Amino acid sequence: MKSEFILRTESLSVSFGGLTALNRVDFEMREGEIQAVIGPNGAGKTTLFNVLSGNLRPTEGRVVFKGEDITGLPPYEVCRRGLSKTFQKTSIFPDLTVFENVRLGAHTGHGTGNPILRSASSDRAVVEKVEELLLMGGLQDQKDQPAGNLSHGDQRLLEILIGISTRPELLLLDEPSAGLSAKETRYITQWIKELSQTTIRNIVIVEHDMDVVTELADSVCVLNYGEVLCRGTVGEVKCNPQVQDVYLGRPV
Amino acid sequence: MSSEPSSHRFTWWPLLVIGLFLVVAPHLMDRYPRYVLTEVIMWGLFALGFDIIFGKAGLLNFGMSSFFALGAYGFVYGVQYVYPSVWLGLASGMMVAFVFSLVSGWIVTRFSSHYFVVFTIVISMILFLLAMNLRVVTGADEGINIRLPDLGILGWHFSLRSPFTKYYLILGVAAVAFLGVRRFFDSPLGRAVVAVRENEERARMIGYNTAYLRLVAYTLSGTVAGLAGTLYPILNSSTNAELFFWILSGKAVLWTVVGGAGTLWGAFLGAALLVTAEDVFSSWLVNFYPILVGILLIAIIQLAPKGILGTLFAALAGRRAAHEAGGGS
Repeated sequence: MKSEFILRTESLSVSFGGLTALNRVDFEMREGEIQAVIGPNGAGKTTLFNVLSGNLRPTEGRVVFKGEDITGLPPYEVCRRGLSKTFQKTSIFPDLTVFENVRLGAHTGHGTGNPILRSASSDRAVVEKVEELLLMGGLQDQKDQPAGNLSHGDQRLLEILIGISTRPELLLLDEPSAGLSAKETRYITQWIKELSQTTIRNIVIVEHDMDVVTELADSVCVLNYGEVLCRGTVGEVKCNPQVQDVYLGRPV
Repeated sequence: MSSEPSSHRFTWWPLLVIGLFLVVAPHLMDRYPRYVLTEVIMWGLFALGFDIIFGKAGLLNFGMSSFFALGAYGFVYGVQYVYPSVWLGLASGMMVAFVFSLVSGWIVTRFSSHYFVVFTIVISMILFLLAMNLRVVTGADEGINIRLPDLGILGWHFSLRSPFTKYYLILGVAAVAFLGVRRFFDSPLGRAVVAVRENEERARMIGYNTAYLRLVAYTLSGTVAGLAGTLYPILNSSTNAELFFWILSGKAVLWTVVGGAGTLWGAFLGAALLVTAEDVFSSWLVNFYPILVGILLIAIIQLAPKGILGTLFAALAGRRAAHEAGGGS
């Protein structure tokens, strides 16, 4: 049955001193699904992401990715094993060009040959992949601009492009719509949906905007005070009275 | 930090013009200016070593003098006690600096920001005190004089008593090192070092072992500074323990920042400008020349906050971007 889950955690706990951020969380992610993690502020969503990506070592428990224990591996090892994360607060290389932002990640996923004796821009496989990704994000006309010059919306797109440039099998999206207008949010939601159909099948998404969750998620996991409150399809979760109490509010 | 020009815009003509000038220049000069130019190339290479760790990797190493001095002593000891060959001296000096930077880098690159700076200062001060006290080994402030062997190239022998031989050897070493360093920062590994400077957390999340990359940059920086150090006894036929003093580290910082940190060219330009200025001013005003150098420094930093070349490149990139935006729509 193990192979059914691409990612799962076994009674994962994280405490900061006396504060328990995650308490015995069993998170499960099926092959080929988009799963949303929701919950009120301080529920432990970002902590969970940080443990999954290797930024934070859990106090207890294990993280199993593709049947392999990755608990406590540093982020670059987790990334090389095929798990990539984007940041809630945009994290790009602002002084480097848009092209190079994506190229740096693509080198991890597609790079071949000696890393010192050749020019970074001479690896055809990498360059083609970068061009393809930039086209996908509609950023090809701005590829020679410093990434810091892009609009906030385009920086959010670039953030995700960097995330998928490493050729991950699983992508963790931390609030991709953060700071976007309603119109931009609709655009990036559709864009992620297409992405999930063409490029990356397995996505875990932390999101506050329930419209985005409804549009994208196959299943939802609700966290509250560091524990899994419930899980199910979007419909099931929305009707759950407990979830309504702590997060969504009761429909009038 | 300066913005990073992408590699495909690289143009060859400035390299060619400067190269031609440097090949012809010594024949158009008197003895003393020729000596200063030779010295400038050596100091420029030293500053290039600093630019690798500071401009490209974003770490302020305030202990660069150690590498330079170790390179100089490595040359002298190699030539005097192992085998009298300039090439062996270059290799042994570089090797000493390489090993030292690998070991010290393994310790200090674990620390960041202020801790890193303080550690580099402390280590270089320890080395300075050791060198000044081990008179038997280093000659302390009197140093060690050395008889330079002839320079052998493919069976030909050139006397290093000739200032021209010294000049072309130093120019050749600096040019090879400069092109190598440029090449490195065009390679995937070199670009990754720059990525760590720009955003370490992100670099780690896209598969880069950032601690390892910092050590790579630190070691390359120390080795290049050490190579510059091997040129000191070639130029002066001696070495001394005062090369370990921190003031030399401070000069590397000034030259690089004035020329433009992160540009690689800037290290040489800064060294050329400040070494020449100090020379000219000190011949005018023997006692007050540091004031003039200070005024010059303030003026440059006011007019060009990213250093001369850093500010120039940023302005050119800005104009190009504006041109493209205008032309594209």
